[in-house]
Amino acid sequence: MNKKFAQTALAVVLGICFTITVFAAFSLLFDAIFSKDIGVVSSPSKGMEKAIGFIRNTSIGVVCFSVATLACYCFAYLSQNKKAFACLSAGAGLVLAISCIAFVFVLRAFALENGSDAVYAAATAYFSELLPLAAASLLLCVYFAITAVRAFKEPVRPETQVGEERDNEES
Amino acid sequence: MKKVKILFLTILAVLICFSCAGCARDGRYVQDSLEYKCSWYDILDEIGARYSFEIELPNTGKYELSYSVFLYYGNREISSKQVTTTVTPNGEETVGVSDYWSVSYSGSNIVESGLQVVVRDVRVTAYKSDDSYSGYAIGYGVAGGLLLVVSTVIFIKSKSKKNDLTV
Repeated sequence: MNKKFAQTALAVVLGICFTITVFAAFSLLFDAIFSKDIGVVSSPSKGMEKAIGFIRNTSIGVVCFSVATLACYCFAYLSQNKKAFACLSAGAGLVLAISCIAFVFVLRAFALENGSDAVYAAATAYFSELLPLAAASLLLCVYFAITAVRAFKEPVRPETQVGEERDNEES
Repeated sequence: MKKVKILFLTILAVLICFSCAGCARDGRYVQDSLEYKCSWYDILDEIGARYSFEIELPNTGKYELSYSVFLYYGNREISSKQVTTTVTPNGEETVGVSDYWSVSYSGSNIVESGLQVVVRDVRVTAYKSDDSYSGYAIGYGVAGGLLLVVSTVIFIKSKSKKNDLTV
């Protein structure tokens, strides 16, 4: 397997992870917007109301944090300051992944305690949106963590040398 | 002086809004609206009670209904349960509440006409949505906002540094 093929494959995988993050954030946004609809079409039980409140508020939180994390990913790709953005992106991705997994377990515990099949069905639907986001965030976190480690290991070059290299590339 | 007046009026308006938020009238049970039908399934050792009653809802919006329902055979109480649910008026002043209640019973033979359903302690209050998890939305929203601001500032600074080097 040559280096170029490995780099292309890695780029494809990271692109898919980025796309999954965008789609998941979009889907969670609409989950939060439409969460109150069930109260209009029926009279949900107390447990269901609590579950919907949890889903709505955590969706809003995850969407807000996902937007910031996606911005970090974009800045890390575009910026020359790889160290700072790699660290930020790795940290943000890790927090997002851990949060999504934690929300899954908290909601699962609540649904099991409630003992209602409707609540568990709603929880399962929410799991299927959080878990792909968690997986994609973890992969991106690992990539940016390795990038950060590599960036810190690189020897520090003086700015004149950086400028000379840039001039050579341009000519 | 004008700014002080506007600020005072704004604070007063906010206080009035908050005080009026608790002024929503409660609903009430419509007297003599309870209807029920009980059946005894001796093979299943089960009594099925289908009951319904009406409540009056003064305003639009959601209400929380709580009541206690008892199943009697003569003067003897067979079972009871506490029910809490939410109701919406759907544009009407009275709303029907109905339920099917299944009670396990394996005692002596009973006559269905002797079974009676009684509903007590009906309370209809304005619904307060559960905001116990709003902390997650606020916390993550603030964290996301801070992260976005910090990353944008670092990006802009690194861009301006790069432009300085090329100049």
